[in-house]
Amino acid sequence: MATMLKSPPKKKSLKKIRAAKSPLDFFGWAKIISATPEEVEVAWNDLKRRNLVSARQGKVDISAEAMVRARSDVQRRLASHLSGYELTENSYIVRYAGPPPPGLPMILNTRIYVEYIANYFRGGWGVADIQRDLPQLKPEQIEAAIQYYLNHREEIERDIQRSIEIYEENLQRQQRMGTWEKLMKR
Amino acid sequence: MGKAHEALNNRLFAKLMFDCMFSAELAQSISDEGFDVTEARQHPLEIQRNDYALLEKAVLERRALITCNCSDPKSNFCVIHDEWLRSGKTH
Repeated sequence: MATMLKSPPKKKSLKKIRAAKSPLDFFGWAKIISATPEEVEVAWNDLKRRNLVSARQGKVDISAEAMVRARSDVQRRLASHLSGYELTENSYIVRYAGPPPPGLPMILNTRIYVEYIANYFRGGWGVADIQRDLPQLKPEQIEAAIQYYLNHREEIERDIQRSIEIYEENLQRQQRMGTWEKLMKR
Repeated sequence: MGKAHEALNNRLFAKLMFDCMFSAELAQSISDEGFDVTEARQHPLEIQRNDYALLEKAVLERRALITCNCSDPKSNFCVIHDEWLRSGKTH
């Protein structure tokens, strides 16, 4: 009886396995940030050498400092993409990236929105006063937010108005639910 | 902590964590009144800049998170809170 010999399963090349497991998608990132894959690889390697990015267990980790310490425009765009931010024309002001609607402009790495700083500024506060209130901010970050407000006054005024409306809606909702009374009974 | 503060804390029902958009002076004033207050800005940047990490931290420390982030479609604590409850987590 003829014995059917099964051919051993083909081994995937190590290169392919590595490529499949690697979270480094230089081609994909290049397309998103409008650079070449080679430029992206160079940018990645320099950020990695300075411990600002790493790839472990199929996941990319990026330091909060990466965007500030980026040495080139490609590095900055790559760091921004990997951090989940969208850049604006001002290097300290970003938005959360993602499908529309766009995120609101905020100071990089702080979750402090331009509208908060605009509120201080509209109230006549100077940079030093604002910094006393929000000591984690550097003067240049506050100045950047004020500059952004002055250049996009209509947009930020709209954001402020929207926040006021949300606050009032929530206040009415809490009043209807009797939240305060419930808390006081605890 | 002085005796007055201790006595006051015994009758307060919530420990607080102020998000980073709140004034340091406000947090200090409330703390001076005897409330148990921490601030987001005291935590590492990785926590400060991430809504979810901040909420996790507040829950871990059993604190109420005081925030103004509810108007950005991409970073909205009203939405995050609903997601939190839907996933079966409590606080």
